Amino acid sequence: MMPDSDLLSVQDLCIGIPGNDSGTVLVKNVSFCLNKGDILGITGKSGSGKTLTALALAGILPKPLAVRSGIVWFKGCPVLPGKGGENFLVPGRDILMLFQSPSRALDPWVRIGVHLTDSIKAAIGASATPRETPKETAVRALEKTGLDATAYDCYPFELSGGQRQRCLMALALAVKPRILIADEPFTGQDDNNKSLVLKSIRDLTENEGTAVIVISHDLRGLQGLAQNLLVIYNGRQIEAGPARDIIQTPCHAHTRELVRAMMFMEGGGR
Amino acid sequence: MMVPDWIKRLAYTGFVLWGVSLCTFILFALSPGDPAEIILSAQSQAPGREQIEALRHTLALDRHWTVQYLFWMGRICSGDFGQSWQTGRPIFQEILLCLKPTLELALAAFLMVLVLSGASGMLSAVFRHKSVDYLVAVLTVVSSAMPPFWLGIMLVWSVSLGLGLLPVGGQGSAAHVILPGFSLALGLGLLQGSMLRSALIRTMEADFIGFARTRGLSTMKIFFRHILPHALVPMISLWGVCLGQLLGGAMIVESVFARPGLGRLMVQAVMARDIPMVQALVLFICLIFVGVNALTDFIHWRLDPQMRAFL
Amino acid sequence: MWHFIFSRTAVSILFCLIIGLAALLAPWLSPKDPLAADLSCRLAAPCAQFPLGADQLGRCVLSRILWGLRLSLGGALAASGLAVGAGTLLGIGAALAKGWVGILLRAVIDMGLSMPGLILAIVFAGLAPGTMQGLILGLAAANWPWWARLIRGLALSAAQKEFVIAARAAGLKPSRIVLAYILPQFKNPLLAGASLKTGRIILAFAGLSYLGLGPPPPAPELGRMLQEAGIYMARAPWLVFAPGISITLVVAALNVAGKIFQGEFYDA
Repeated sequence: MMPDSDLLSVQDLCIGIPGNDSGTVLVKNVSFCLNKGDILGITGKSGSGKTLTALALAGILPKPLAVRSGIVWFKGCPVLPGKGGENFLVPGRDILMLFQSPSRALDPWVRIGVHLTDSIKAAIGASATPRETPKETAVRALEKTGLDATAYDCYPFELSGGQRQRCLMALALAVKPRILIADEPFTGQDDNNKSLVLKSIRDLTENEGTAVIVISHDLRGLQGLAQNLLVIYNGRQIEAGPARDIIQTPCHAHTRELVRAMMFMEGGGR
Repeated sequence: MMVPDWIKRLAYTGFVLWGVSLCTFILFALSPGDPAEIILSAQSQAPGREQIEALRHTLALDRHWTVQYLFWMGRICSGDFGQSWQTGRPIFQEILLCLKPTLELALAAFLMVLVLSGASGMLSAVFRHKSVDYLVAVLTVVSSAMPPFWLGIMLVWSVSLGLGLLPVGGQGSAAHVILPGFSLALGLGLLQGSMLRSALIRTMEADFIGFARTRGLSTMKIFFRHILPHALVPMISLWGVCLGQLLGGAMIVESVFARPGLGRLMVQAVMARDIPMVQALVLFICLIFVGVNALTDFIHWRLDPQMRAFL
Repeated sequence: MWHFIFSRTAVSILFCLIIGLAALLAPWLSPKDPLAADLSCRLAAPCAQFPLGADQLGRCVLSRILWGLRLSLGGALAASGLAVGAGTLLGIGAALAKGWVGILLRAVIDMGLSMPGLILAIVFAGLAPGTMQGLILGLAAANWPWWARLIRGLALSAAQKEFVIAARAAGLKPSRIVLAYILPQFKNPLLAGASLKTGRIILAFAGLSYLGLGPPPPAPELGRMLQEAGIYMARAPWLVFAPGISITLVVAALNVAGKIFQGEFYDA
């Protein structure tokens, strides 16, 4: 059982291709809890199932995959992502996922500003009367990420890869979801962008109370950022707990490998 | 001096049209059968040698084909399309008479194609792999394999003569255009519907659609803002080609429904070796076809912001 | 094994084979001589003697249809073959030739494309009206631009594939490159296009002979049969149904085969 104070609680999540019992299971028994303002890191080598877990929580698993079993609780209400639990865990307002590749996440024929205002309008919904128009919110968010206000009218192909990543972060800042999942936000970015991503995540967690899940195979980056860490290997969760503990004293052999590799890179190859 | 793109395009198109008219002319010049003889035989019994020679001289058939062609080009450039060898009436008039019924039929059929392809494409994409999808697929295979004129014959017999609902043939009102239009549109429409279905499904699997869903956008908004524009792109070319073909080539259905039209005019002209008429019609129909293609390209250009940026 | 037998591929391949064989073996399969008129049996309804009925001259409809299919399929394959041949030559030429020759060839292909197919067919068929050869020529003329454009596109994209560039860098002879590296990529689109286009050609054949452009009356051409049968629709509807349905079946089989080659049939 999980305390009601938990924002998100996942227990024994299994993802695979539904069907007969022998159907393929790609992710097995992932469990964790998230509170407001928490930062959880999920790591593991490529193809281990990190992104699949995120997609399942966001409710956008590609067919034929589906959640085979497990319980997900959001603010005390049970939710099985995508099966009527949509009412409780609303994409956009409650949970937003930023994809690994900003270029593929953005519709090449739709302006950046439209991407943002659409999301803002969807997140606000019919509830509160906002103090500013969606366009103003969008422009403010873009400026917070260091982009010019002119980016609002640009098409994605008119911006560089790094700028597109900033647009995604601006989107997160504008929408202010309860839970944000960032899939490999640091990969392939220069240091400027990396620090910007860091800043935005901190902004969201400290000022808006967003719970953030960061998926990354960059242990070094996660080390400074995440409080808790989840290590996934071959679709199974092999370690879970405070990040510092896991990195200093890894239990599982695979985790040790990851930590050793991280130290190797830090040490410049020695 | 930089020559703007559209001028190059225009020049190239002009060159292509000229080439087409030249080739058509050469074909007829080299083909067996004496036009003068054919014309006279159609009018009276056995034309005498002198009559044939006289007619040949009048029609300039006794000159070399290159000379004939230059004559013809000269006249075209001054706007004179000449007279039809079959009827003697000015060609331009004949074409104009047939233009209205052709346009009516082509537009009616095109509208039906749009509706059919849109509906069947969207239905089968949304209900993918369910019974609706399979039903549409079977209908598509069958209807695109049916000869359109056979469908026309059957429709005439069942709807017009059997049920008395619609006129049998001829032209004049909207009712006259429904059956022939439908005969043309059924196979084409469903076939393009299956193309739309593929385009929709492919677009729906794109990453940015998943991103749109996680952003919380409603299904309608995702469909109209993100899916439809991308899926329509391949369809625009298809629809353009379809319109061009409808405008130029509905002759068999026109025949079944006894409608006058450019197609029937062309067939008659070819069979009667009415060279000026054939030349004029070829030019005319090609022009329409090329025009429709240009329109299609223009729409593509408007839809895709990336193309606009590079022009 | 059973799964394969009842699978869609198997059914459609079987279908195509049956039709192909029927057309091929028409001389042996047809119960009667398609040209043998027996006026005493005019417009007979389908019965034991005439499985699909008899037409207005007492000829056996089934036999005429079998022979008609033979004519149509044969003519369509001939027209397709010509179109593919001419289209391939011009297409590859336009793709690989440099400079003015390349531009000229492309212009020639565009000229062919700027006409609706049926118009081209009529113009060419009109050169030899009343003969099968005229129709075949007409339909080949109508279709070669499509093939030329397809092959030019395929050749251009094939030539840019990395393994082809590597082959050229390695100094392989151009002919070897074309044969071993470029042509194999064409296999599927070519087969798909061939099936679909042959189907279209059969429809066009029927249409043009309906208009009177093909072989004249005694010949059992399906389109011509439809034209003659129009007036007998009330008394002898089988005269209109039978040719129409057979054309539909043949073209449907070809379309399905084409889609299988495109790999799209299973996406349905």
